[in-house]
Formats: sequence, structure tokens, C-alpha cells
Amino acid sequence: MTTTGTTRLCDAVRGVLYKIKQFTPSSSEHMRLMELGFQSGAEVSLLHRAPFQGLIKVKIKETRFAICLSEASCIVVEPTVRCA
Amino acid sequence: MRSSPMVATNSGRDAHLVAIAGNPNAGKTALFNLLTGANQKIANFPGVTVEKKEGSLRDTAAGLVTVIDLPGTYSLDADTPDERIAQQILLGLHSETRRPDAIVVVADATHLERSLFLTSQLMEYGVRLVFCLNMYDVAQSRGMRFDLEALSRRIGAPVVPTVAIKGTGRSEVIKLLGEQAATLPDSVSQRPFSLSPETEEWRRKIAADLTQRQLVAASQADFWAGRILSGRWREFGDEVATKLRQAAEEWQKTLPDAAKIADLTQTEIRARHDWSAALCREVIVDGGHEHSLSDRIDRFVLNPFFGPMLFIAVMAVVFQSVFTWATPLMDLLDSGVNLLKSGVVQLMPESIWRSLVVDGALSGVGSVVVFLPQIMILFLFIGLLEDSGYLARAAFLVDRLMVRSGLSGKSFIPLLSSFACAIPGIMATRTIKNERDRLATIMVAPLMTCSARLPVYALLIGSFVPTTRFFGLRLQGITLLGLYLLGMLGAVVAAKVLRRTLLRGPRSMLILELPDYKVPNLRNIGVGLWLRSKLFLQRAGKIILAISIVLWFLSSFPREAVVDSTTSTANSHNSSESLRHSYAGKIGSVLEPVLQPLGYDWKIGVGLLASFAAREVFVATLGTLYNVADADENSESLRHAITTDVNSHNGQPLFNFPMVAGLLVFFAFAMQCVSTVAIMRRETNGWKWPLLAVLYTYVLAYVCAFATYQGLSWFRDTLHL
Repeated sequence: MTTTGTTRLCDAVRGVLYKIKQFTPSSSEHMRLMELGFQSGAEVSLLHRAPFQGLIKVKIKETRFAICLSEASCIVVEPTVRCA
Repeated sequence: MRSSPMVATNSGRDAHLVAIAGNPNAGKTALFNLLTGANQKIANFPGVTVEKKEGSLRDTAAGLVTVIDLPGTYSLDADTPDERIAQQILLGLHSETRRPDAIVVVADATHLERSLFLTSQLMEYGVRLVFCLNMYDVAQSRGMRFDLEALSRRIGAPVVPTVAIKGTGRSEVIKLLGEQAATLPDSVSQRPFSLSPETEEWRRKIAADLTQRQLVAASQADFWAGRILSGRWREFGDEVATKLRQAAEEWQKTLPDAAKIADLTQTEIRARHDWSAALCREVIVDGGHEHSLSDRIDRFVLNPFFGPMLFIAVMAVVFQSVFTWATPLMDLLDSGVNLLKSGVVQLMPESIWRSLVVDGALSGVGSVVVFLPQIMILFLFIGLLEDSGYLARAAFLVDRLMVRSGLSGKSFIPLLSSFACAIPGIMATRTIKNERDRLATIMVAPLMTCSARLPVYALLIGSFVPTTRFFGLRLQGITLLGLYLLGMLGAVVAAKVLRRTLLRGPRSMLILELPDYKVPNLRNIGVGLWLRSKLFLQRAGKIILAISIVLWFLSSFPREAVVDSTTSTANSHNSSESLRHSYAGKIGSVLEPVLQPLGYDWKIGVGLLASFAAREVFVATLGTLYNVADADENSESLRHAITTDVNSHNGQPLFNFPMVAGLLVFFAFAMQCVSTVAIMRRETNGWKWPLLAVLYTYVLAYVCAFATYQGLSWFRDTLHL
């Protein structure tokens, strides 16, 4: 469940910089994602969406990852500042 | 040889072992190629489909050094099969490969912070390292500047700026890896972070116990204590030395409650990231300007509208090249093999030995060699796409589509290639990291309509499907399209069934790095092509040769006295009689009761048996059976012969419409290709999967051909067509 002002990474909007708040318990790849830098407090932004509800491309720590929507839906984020 | 974490001495060995480790896309393979050149060999790690690349270096400070290129990994805790191999080798837990004497860590200079996570784990393990700051030129071009001395000091290892694709840093890396490999004892364990006082106390106790019991080297005790404390020793299963496992189990009983374990792992991950970030702030003197060219390119490449269009265009070029451009080269090789066969025929007197050489060995080996141009062209394209960074984008675009079929985005290119030939398609599955996805793709690749089916389709469709048109489209063309679609449908269904039964497991591609775009390095692609071609000819060739000789034996023995004759018709007649009385002919007769429900007689049985070598052999075998010299799919005499033949059991035309439809369906599904079996065996490291593929495709082919024949016969008889 998300709290006010927070959203899930799968619903993120392009052009907005987010901060990771937490992972929902349903995440199957929590540790893996954490090792790749997806940890609370890390800044993440959405760059692209694949057609037909496919993968999304996100940027975290200068690295670009493709991540599936079901896993992105387990990452709760909150917007920080609007990108230029 | 089984090694254990205790192995810590370098003495008494023929060659020192150095492993190249690092994150995916950091340039490990480029560095490996730079160090070892073409002096390398590829095999599979035992029991898995993960590729093992080894090369050797002479005249280093440590003498002869074996260099092993490990699969890319982000950490020592990952659980995909290829990352697990890297982890096992790095930690000295692999059953076939001993612990490396030194590790060359390859880090992407433009993504240094990401690379430091794995580095921190290796530092903690206490193995000697050489740290290559690769793609240094790219970092410099972006204005980045590093304090290399500080970096070296903080990670406790020599640091070399390298540009692997240009050869920069080669001699320095060789010098240092030789020195590090030859140095005893191991490096001192350096854990770059501290945990809570309580955790540290437990860690100290466990480490002291492990050292006292001499279960691990003192330099690695803290590392293993950390593993035991956070419960991560279980991941290694049987690979951990028994005594160490026992110690871990004992300690687990006395540790704080299990809930703390997950917390501890997370705390460690956070601590490593914090250390990496702090180190980067210290050693990256100037971060340069942000590089967003790849993001700008992706705006077009991943655009929901233009992206798929570009993807289709790229795939069209790849498909065309494999399917069409290889043909002249394949014809050339085929002519070469035929020339060789004629040469042997002229040189050797007619005998069983000449037949063995010409019809068995040369025909068999020739049937493999002709695939080489397709394989090389496909791998050239895959190399270009992978090296440039586009392959990951292609997977990004089609992942959703493939996931619905039970596969992953990376299955797309192998399956597309399989339309030309399943052999390069199966070899191309090496880009799929998830083992289950890879096996599922390998298993369904033979269902895609390959070019070898076309001669059979052309003969049967040309002979039995009328040239009438429907809505301006020729019925013959529609039939051919239908067979292509049938193969694809079969592949989708088979993939779904496999992923829900034998290959059940979590889907892959949950997360995939999209590397920066770069200009492909032709040297790397060239080395890869050379090794791949060599491997294909060596490994598949041997199996093909053996099976071809068996099939030759079955169709040549027992030999009958051949009436001397000079006319080709008489020769063909003799061949037909010989084939009828051969073991293959007899097997065809034995199979007749099984094949009768499909409307076949013994001749089709012989044809199907012979076409197990390769589908197109079916046409040539029918030519022999119907005494048509030099038969091919366009041969009018062969078409006439098969349209007028009658079934010896019921006196009806043998090749009637329901039987031909069933036969087409049979060819659409059955894996009649020894070369594919051979390559499947090689790529899956055993006979289990190829035999299963033969079994399921033949059962599928039989059941569908039976249903088609019986259904259409019933339809025909009921409606009196």
C-alpha cells in the first residue's frame, strides 16, 4: 500500500526524479535489486516504456536497467524534484 | 579435482590460474581476448550450459598462467546459473576448477561505483587482485579524472587504466597478474565496513573457530564467518567442504533468531553501497559531464512507434542475410564437397570402402560443413548487435511478446534464425542467460520451419496442391504459409508446456542492464566468430560423422550382387532394389504397421528413416525408390512417379490428398536432422535434451499427421469428394 505522495515505480512518470522509499514484501528480487543499487534513499527515474505493457527503462546511479512491471510495482517511490 | 576453500597454496602446480571477473558489459571478454588472443578454447562447465573460456599466457612473472574468463556478475550472491559459476570459481567452491591464484577485476571506468560492490566482496575474501579501470578513454573523453593511487591504496590492489579494445594496458596487466599469481600468501582480508558491535563479536567468534579448526585459511575466516552469520552458506549446498558445512550448521544453532539474518544481509548491502559511494567521491577527482547520448538514441530506438519498426527492419536484414546471402557460399561449399566426392570416385575402385568414404563420411561431413556460412553470418550479426548495445534493446522491445509464449525477449533472435536453420539458432541461444529459457528455446527451435524442409514442401505442394487462386493468392503459397504458421504455433505451445512442466521456474528478464551504445569492436567479433566456427566443425562434425556412417550402413547392407549395367535407369533400378533389401528397407517394412494409420507404406518408411539424417534426403531417397536418376524437388519424372504410385495394401493412390497433408504436417513437426541433434547435444552438455526433443517432436508429428490423415479421409469419404 502506498502512502500519500508516494507511488510505485511501475506508475512513475517520465521527467520526474524519484527516491526509493521501500520494497513491498511481494518482491521476489529484493536482494538482487538492492545489490544493483535499488535501495531506500536511492534516486531513480523512468526513461522509457516498452510497447504493450512490457519492460520499463529506469536510471539509477548512472546505470540504465530494464525492469519488468511486476517487479517495478514492488518498489515504492516518492517524487523529489522535477527534472529539467 | 575437487577443491575446497582451504586451498590456499600455489605451489606444486603446472600453471597458475587467474580468473577475469567483473560486471556484465565491463569489457571482460575484450580484456580476455586482448590477453590471450586466439589462443583460447571454449567448452561448457560440467553439468550446465554455461560457457567456459580458457586461454593461456606464457612468460609471465609466474611462468605459465591459465586465464579463465568468468561470466559477468554483479555480486558473489547472485543465483542465475552463469553467475553461480563465477561465484563458485571465485570462492574456490567449483568441483572442476580450483580457486584462482589471482583475480583480474574489470571495472567500467564510466560506472566505477557499480563495479565496486563486487570488488568489496573480493577484497573481503582476501584473494590477490589486479584492478583494471577499463574503458578509460571513454571516461577521459567525458572529462572524468581519477586519483588512481588513492584507488589502489583503498582497495589494496594495483590499478591499471585499460582500453581493452585498443590494447592499452596489456603489458602492465600481464606483468601485474603474473606477480600477483606468483605471490604467496594470499592477500589480507579487507572488509571495507563495520557492522554493529554485537554482530562483529559473533563474527569474530565464528572466524576464530573456523581458523582454530583449520577449516579455512586465516585470511578468509572473516569472509566465511560473515556468510555463516547471515545464513548465506546454504546457497553453496554440496559445494562447500563438508567440515565447513558442519561448522556452519553448528553455529547456526547458537546464533540470534532467523529474523536478523535477512536484516544483516541488507545491512551489509547498504554498507557496501555506502563504501562504494564514499570511495568514488574520494577517487573521482572530476566527474566530467553527464553522458546522455545513449538516452538520446534510445528516444528513437525504444520509441513505441519507431522502435518496433526499426526492430523489424533490423531483423529483416539479419533474417535475409542468414536465409539468402549465405546461399551462394553454401552452394560453393556443396560444390566443393561434390568435387571431392567425384575425385574419390575417380581415384578409388568401386568397393564398399569407396561407398563408405563417399556416401558415408564425405556426405555426412559435407552436410555439416555447408551450414558454416549461415552460422558465421548469423554470429557476425549477433556480435555486431550485442557489441553495439542494440541486442539488449531488441530484447527490451519484444520481451512482452515472448513472455506470453513462455520465453524471454532474448529468445527472439535464435527463433528467427531457426527459420533458416535450427543449428545457428540453437547456437545463438548462448545470449540467453536464464538456463530454463535457454533450454526451452533450444527445445522449440527445431519446430520453426527451416530451409531444409523447403525441398520436401516444394515437391509435395508442387505435386498435389492445385494451382488455383483464392482472392488472388495461389493456394500453393497459402499452403506453404500455413506450414510456417503451423511450425510457429507448435513452438509456442511446446514452449508453454515445457515452461509449465519440465522447465518450470521463475521467468527471467526481471531486470536487465541496458549498456551504453558503442561502436562494435571487429577484433572481438572476429575472435568470437573464429572460435565458434572451429567449435562447430570439431564437435558437431564428429557426431555427424558417426551417425552418417550408421545410416549409410543401414541403407547399404546387406549387399546384393549388383548386375553390371551402364545405363543410369538400370543403375537406379539396382539402387532401388538394394535399398529395398537393405536394413533400412527392412526397418521400413517392419515400421509399416505403425505407419499404415498415417496412410504410408514401406517406401515412405524408408524415406522417413533416411531423412532422419536430414530432411532434404527424403526427396533423394524417393528418387532412388522410384528409380528416378538425379531427383530433386523440381524433377517432373519424380512428380509423375509419386502421383501415379499406388498403395500396395488397398490399391488406392499412395500419395492421396489426406496422406500428403498428413505427411506435410509430419515434416512440419518432426526433428529430422542429425546435425540439430548433434548441436543440441553439444549445447546442452548431454543426450537428455536432444533425445527428449526427438521423442516429443516425433510423437507430436505422428499424432498430428494421424489426426490430419484420418480426419481428412473421413471428411473425403463422408462427402464423397
